[in-house]
Amino acid sequence: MANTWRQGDLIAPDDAVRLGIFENAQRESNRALVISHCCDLAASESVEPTIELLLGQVIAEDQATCRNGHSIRRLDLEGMVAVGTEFARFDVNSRRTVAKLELLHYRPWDEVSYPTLQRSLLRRWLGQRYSRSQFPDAFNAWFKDSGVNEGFEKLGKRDSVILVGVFFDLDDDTERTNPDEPYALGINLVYDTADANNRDRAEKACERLNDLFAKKCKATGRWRWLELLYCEAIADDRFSLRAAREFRRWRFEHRSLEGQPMDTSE
Amino acid sequence: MAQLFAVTRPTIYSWQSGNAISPAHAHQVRKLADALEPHLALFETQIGRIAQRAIDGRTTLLQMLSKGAEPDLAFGHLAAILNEETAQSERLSMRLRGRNGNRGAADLDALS
Repeated sequence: MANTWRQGDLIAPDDAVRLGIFENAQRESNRALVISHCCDLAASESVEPTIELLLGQVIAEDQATCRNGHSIRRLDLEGMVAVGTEFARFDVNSRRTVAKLELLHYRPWDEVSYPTLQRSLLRRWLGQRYSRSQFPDAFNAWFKDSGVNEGFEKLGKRDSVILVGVFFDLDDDTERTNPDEPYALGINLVYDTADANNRDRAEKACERLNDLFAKKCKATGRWRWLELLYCEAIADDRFSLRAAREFRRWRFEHRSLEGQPMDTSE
Repeated sequence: MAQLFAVTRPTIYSWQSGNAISPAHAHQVRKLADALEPHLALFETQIGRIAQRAIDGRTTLLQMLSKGAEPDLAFGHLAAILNEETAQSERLSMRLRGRNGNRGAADLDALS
C-alpha cells in the first residue's frame, strides 16, 4: 500500500468522518491535520503503528491572531484552496491518534493543503513545546502581577501577522523576591520585511509597549517588577544569529519554570 | 532588468557589450543612473538587499520602477529604509558588545 502521507497533510473531511475522527455535521468546520514526523509516517506499521493528528477549526482570516508560532497553545495555519485561502486554528491539546493501517486507505486532501512555509512553521511550533526558552519564575510571576501580561497578549493578537519573533533581552536568571529590585528587560520585535508597512506597525507596537510598561511598572515614578530598558523594532534580515543566541524568544501564554499555568483557563 | 525596460534579456546583454541602444532607452538608463548616483555608496554595501526588497507595501524596487515610478523617489525610498535598518543593526551590535554570544537559547530553530 503506497504511503503518500507527509507531516502537514490534511485528512479530507469525508475520510475523517469515515475514520471516526469527527462527526458528519463537522465536515465543513473541522480539520484533521497529520503531525507525525515524515520518518514515522514512512516507517513500518510494526514500528510506528499509529499516526498522530491535531484537530482544528476553520476560522475567519480576521480571527487568525495566532500566526507565526507566537502562541504556545494555538497555531493558525493558512491553507491553499482552489481560489483564495482558508484559515484554521489548531490547539496543541487537541491531539489524537489514528491507526496507520486505517489511514493508509486514504490519500491526503487535495482541496486544502498547506504550503512549505506553513509546514515549516508547524514543525517549529510542535518542537517549541519541548524546547522553548525558560525564564525565572519570579520574572514570569511579576510579568503577570504587574499587569503587563494582559497588554502583551493583546499585542500578540494584533501584531502576530507582522512579527516573526519577539525576543527578550534578559540577562538575569536569578530568582528575585523584592519587586522594588526589578528585572531589567529589553524587547526586540522582529518584523517581516516582506511588506514595507510592517516597520511602521512594529514601531507603533514598540510605542505601545513603552507606554504599557511605564503605566504598569513605573506608575509611581520608580520602576517596580520590570524595568523596560528598551524596545526595538528590527528587520528580520538584520536580526542576527548571534542575537538569537543571546536573547530569549518570548512565546505568548508563557509558562513558568514550575510548569504551572499562568491563568486558570488553561 | 529586461522587464524594467520591456526588452528581452539578450537585448540587455547587447547593450552591455556596447551595441547601439535606442534614444528612448538611453534616456531611461540615464535617468536611472542619475537617480542611483547619490545612493551608490549605500547600495554597494547592501547589494543583496536592493532589487527584491519590498519598499511600498509588498512592491519591490524593480516592480515600482516597472510600473513607471519616478526613479528619484523609488531609490530615495529604498535608501531611507536601508539607512534605518543599518541603524537598527548598529544598535543591535552595541547591545551585544561584550556579551559571550551564547546563552544557549533553547529555540534557535525559531530563526529558520
